[in-house]
Parts: sequence; C-alpha cells; structure tokens
Amino acid sequence: MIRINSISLKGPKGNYKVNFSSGLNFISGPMATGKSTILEMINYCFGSKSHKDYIEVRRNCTEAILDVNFGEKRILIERSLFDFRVPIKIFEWDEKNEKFSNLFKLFNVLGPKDENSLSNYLLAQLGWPVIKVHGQPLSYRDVFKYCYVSQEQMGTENLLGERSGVQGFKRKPTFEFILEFLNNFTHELKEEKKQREEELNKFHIQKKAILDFLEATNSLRGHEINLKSEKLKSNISFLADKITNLREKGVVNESKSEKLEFEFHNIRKLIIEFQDKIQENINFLSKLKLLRNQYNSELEKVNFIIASHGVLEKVDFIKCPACMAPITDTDDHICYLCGDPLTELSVDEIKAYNGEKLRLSRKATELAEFIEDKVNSEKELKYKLSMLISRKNQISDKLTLSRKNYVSPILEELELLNQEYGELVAELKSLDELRKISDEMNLVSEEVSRKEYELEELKKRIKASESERKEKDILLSELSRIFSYTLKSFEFPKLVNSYIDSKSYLPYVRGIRYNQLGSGGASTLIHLAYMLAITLISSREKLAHPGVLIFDTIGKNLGGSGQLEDVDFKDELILKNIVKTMLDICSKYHNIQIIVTNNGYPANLPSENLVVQFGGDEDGKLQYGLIV
Amino acid sequence: MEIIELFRILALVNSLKRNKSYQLTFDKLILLDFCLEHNKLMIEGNEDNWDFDSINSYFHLQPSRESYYKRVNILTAKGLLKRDINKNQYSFSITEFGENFCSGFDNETFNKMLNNAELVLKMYKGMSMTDLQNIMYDRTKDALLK
Repeated sequence: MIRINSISLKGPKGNYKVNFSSGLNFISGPMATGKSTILEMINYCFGSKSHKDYIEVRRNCTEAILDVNFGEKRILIERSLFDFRVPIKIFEWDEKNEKFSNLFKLFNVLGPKDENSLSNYLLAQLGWPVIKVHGQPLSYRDVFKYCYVSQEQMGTENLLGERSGVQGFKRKPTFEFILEFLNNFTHELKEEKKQREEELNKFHIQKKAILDFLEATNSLRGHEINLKSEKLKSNISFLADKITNLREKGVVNESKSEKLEFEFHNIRKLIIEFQDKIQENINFLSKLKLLRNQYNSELEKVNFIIASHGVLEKVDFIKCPACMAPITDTDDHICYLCGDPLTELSVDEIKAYNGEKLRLSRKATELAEFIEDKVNSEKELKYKLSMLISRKNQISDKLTLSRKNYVSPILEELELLNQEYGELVAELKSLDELRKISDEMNLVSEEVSRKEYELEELKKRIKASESERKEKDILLSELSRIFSYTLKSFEFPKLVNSYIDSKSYLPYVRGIRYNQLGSGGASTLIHLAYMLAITLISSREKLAHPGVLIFDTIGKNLGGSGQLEDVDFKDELILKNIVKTMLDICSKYHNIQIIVTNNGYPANLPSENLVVQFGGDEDGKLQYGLIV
Repeated sequence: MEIIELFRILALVNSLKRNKSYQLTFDKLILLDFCLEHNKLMIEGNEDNWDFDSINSYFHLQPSRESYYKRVNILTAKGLLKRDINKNQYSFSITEFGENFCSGFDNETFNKMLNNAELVLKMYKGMSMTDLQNIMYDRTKDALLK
C-alpha cells in the first residue's frame, strides 16, 4: 500500500513543500493558486510523460521531489522539471542512519518493456509481477489511473476509457487485475516467481565465484582483513618509532643483520635436506614407474594371447615348415605336426590367463595409486623448497645490499629496517585491494538477501492468491453494493438503483448506463463513488489497489461557493456528504489515503484534514498560492 | 612358439605392402623387428613409458637367428609370407592371403603393432644397417645406464 508523505518543488530561491498525513487530505483555495499543480506534480513523480507549462513553476523551480512509503519501505522520487526525458532518481531510506541514503538509483521513464523503467521498479515495490494483458505488459501507470483523477477527467463520461478506443483497451483488464480476478493472475505470478528464481540463481553463482576465488587464493575475509590490517599498522608504527629512535640516538642493541645471517644459514641447511629428499623421491619414483610400465606391458601381452589364440593355428599349412615342401593332402582343422584337432583355449586355460590378468591389473592399480601419492608428496616438497629458496635469496639480497653500501652498522641496521618498513607498507596496500573484493562480496550477499526476501514475499502472494480469492461474481456483487451505498451517501436525489454491470464493469443508474444520464454533477458523483468503491473493497479484501486516491476538484460541476452554510444550496450539502463519506472510509480503513482539492471546503471538514489553504489574495492572511 | 613374435613379424612385413621395391632381407628383418619390439625406446623415446624390457634391451641386441628362421618359416608355410631369393639372399614380402589375414584380424594390440610397424619403417627404412645398428646400440646403452 502507498502513503504519500510530501511533495516538494525545489528551486534556487527555495523549496515549496506540502506535507500529507494518512486519511483525508484536503487542499483548498481559489482558482490559479496551484492546487492542481500539487496533484499534477505527484502524478509527474509517479511517471507521467510530462506536466503542464506553469509559468511560476518554470521561473522558480527545477525539480519535483516526492516522499512516499510503499508499505514499510520509504523512498524519495526526484525528477527534473520541464526536461521530461531525464532519468528519475530514487533515494532509499537508510534505517540505520535514519535518513535518506546519499546514493541513488536511476530509472527511465519508459514503458514496462524496459527492465530499468520506473514502472517496473514501482511494481516491484508493490510486490506485483509484470504481467501481460492482450500481449502488452501491464504498467504501474495503468494501475495508477485508478488512483488519480485529474480535473479534466473528473466527471467525464469515459470511466474505463470505453470511448477512447485503442488507447483505453487496458482499462478493463487493469480493473480485473486490481480486483485480482484476472484469469491468469496466479499464472503470471508463478511466471514472475520462475524469473526471479533464475535471477537469484545467477547471483548465487556470482557469489560462489567470488567465494571460490577467495578460498583458492587463501585470502582473508571480512574482519580477518581488519585484524591483519590493524596488526600491520601497529607493526609499521613500531618500526617507524624504531627507525626514528635509531636515527636520533645512533645505538644498535640487537643487530638485525646478525639475525638474518643466522636465518640464512639455517635455511641453507634446510634447502640441502629438502633437495636430498626430493632426489631420493625422484629415484624411487623412476623405479616404480618402470615396474608399473612392465605390469602394463605384461597385461597387454596376456590380453593378446587370449584374444589371438587359435587365430593363426586355424590357418592351414600349405608347406612343411621344416623343409618347405608343399603339402598336397589337406585336412582342415588338424595340426600337421601332431595330428591333434585345432581347438580354442580350454576353459581352464582361459581361467588361468584371466586370473593372471586380474593379478597384474590389481598390482598395476595399487602401484599407480602409490605412485600418485609419491608424486603429490614430491610436489609438496618442491613447493616448500621453492619457498625456502625464495626466502634465502631475499635474505641474501638484503645482507649484500647492506654490507655493500654501508660501513657503519647503524646505517646497515637502518637500511634493513627501512626495507622491512617498505615490505609491510606494500602488504598493507595489497590488503586494501583484498578489502575491495571482500566489500564486493558483501554487496552481492546483500543483493542475494534482498532478492530472497522479495521471492519469499512473492511466494506468499501466490499462496494468498490461490487460497483466498473470492469468486469473481461474489466480488463484483459486493463491489456493486458498496458503489450503490457510497453513491447513496452523497444524497443526490436522482441517483438511485445504482449498480456495476458484471460484463462491462461500468456503473448503471436508474437502469441506464452512467454516460447516458446527461448530468455533469451526476457524472462527478458517480466517478467519485466508483473509485471509492474499488479502493474500499480492495482494502478490505487485500486486493491489488495501491490504497491512495487523488481527486482534483471534487466539487466540479457541483456549483456552490465552498464555505457557505446555506443549506438551500443542495450542491453544498452534497459536497459535505462527499467529505463525510471520505472521512468515514478513512476512519474505518486506515490504510487508505485520500488527497483532494477544491475551491473551498465544507464546514464539516476537521481542521487537521485541511493540509493547505491558499488565499489567492495578496493582501490576505493566507498564503497566496503554492509558489509565492 | 611365441605367438606375439609371429604377429609382430607379420605386422612388419605387411606394412611393406605398398613398398614393392624395398627388399626386406633377413638381416633387415631382424633389425627392424628389434625396433618394433622395443618401440618405447626406438620410436617414442619417452623415458616415463620405459619398462624393464626397455632397460634390458641392450642384452638383446643380437637375437637368435635360428628363432627368426623358425618364425618366418611358419609364416611362409602358412602362406602368409612369400620368400624369394635375390642376389643370393632371402627376401620376404606379404602375400595377398597374408594381407587379407592382417586386415581381417581386428585386435587392439595387433592394430598398435601395425601402426608402430608403419612408424618404424618411416623412421629407419632408408637408413643403412650400420647406422641403424649404431642408433640401437646408443639408445640401449643409455637406457641401461639410466
């Protein structure tokens, strides 16, 4: 549900602000004082294509800023005036610091087909999916038409755009969407859920990739980076003091170069030990590999013997292999040397060969695994050796540099300390880089959490939509009843037997369609009652109306001076009834906000509901208009 | 009789089927068969694949001629090889029956032998026997010393 908190027009000379509260908000004043401007600017911040060319606004103002709540979430919508294509800025409320964030997001004022449009953002804030009606995506603007009635539209005989032809084709499906009996509403919600799950999955993949990178590089995270950073800074500070101390006092207590020399010798010993171990390993491995290869060769031979036995034997001799004389009598499939019939390998022979094969395979496999272990341990040893060699070279360079350049041990010590200082500073810098990656990781995590929350809300909505939805006929019948009751409360005598038609969703009064009545005043009242009824039933049944209504000039076509108490003027009485009805609705349904303007207000309007009163008179006590 | 040795000689002679002009004498047969038998040493050259036969190949540089006679006689007697006499020495070639036999026997190890035989001929066919013997001596000695 939406609640408008304030609208401001920002300018070089100052800001012109109007605050709103929940419930009924009445703006009163004579003509040309800026009442319609206020409402039009609210509409402009909600994404209308343009606004009128108000001279005072052009002279004094550059931006319109709308402070609005979408449920619990508070946002600031800032839009440039007169340049309608400039993207809109959205600032979100920072709960922790209790103010709007300095960071903003930019959105285009394009149709809902653009993913980065204001429409899609606002729909997301209301927890609605982007659904399609007649092949076109439903936009926030389509729904907002059921919230805002401008002065020109008030009392027109074209409620659902039924006379606007192509332009009005979405009004009826939007009506169905608001009352949540659009046939494929739940289906569209489910499609949206599927899309969001895919999107969330991509973010999970991104998060995992960063995590994998941090793990693979053994990088520190979050507070570990801070701890290490603090430690480094402390060491750097300690070293800096030591260097300063040494410079000033010139006394070396503990020679750094002696320590390094000692370390150098130890590392050299270790290197030799490692190299010997590695060589031993290599020799052993080469012998193992020979054995492995031998097993594989033998295995190949055994396999060949099994596969080829009998093949060559079956080829008859055409000559004697001893004397090479031709053999004339041929008898197929007997051995010419011994006369035995040529046969395949016997079952036992095959078993023996297969047994041998199995033994060789097992040995080869075990050996292969053992070789792999040895290879891995060799890799580890080589890695450790490379680290030791690197450290040895480092120490050697330091010692060489200090010995080469400096005669005095103090200078030598200073040089070594400076080198260490430089190394620590470089390490601190690389930690900062790591922190950036960690921060990126946090941003992605937050985005994932936000999307997970939105997905949960959507799932709840789907569940609600499936379980709690009333039958369309029942809802329409109820809407019709509320409409009739509301219209009756205005006490316009001729507006009786009113209902909403179940097919066209249009109001009928006295048996005829509303636009056939021929009365401007009646049209205004019907328009108000219709919008109020839709909002009321939506609030009661927790349907899709945003819960805000904005009416420009509720007294249009009604006549009356505004503040006269003369009951002979029935139109003035009607205005009182309208206000009374609105107050009743707002007191019963606290999540409905109504903002209205009129030339004057009735006597029954409580002062707390009169948000602004313009005088229109330069010498009067009241403010002249919106822009002074 | 060692079946592997018989098939190996068959594979070697078969690979010469397209080289009608090449005379495969008995001595050349022995040398080339050595290369085929110890292909890990003579063709691949990758030490990681050597086995004990590769290491000990030095001791088999001069194989028994008698055993080779027996092998080629068996194959000739079965009609798989053809034995000719040219310039007072035997030369061997594959018969049509032998070619069909080789192409009809589909076995992984035998196919590997055929491929290696092609490689051996490609690498060593054009060499003189002395040069080939020197190479064999050097490689087997290196393998043994390693």
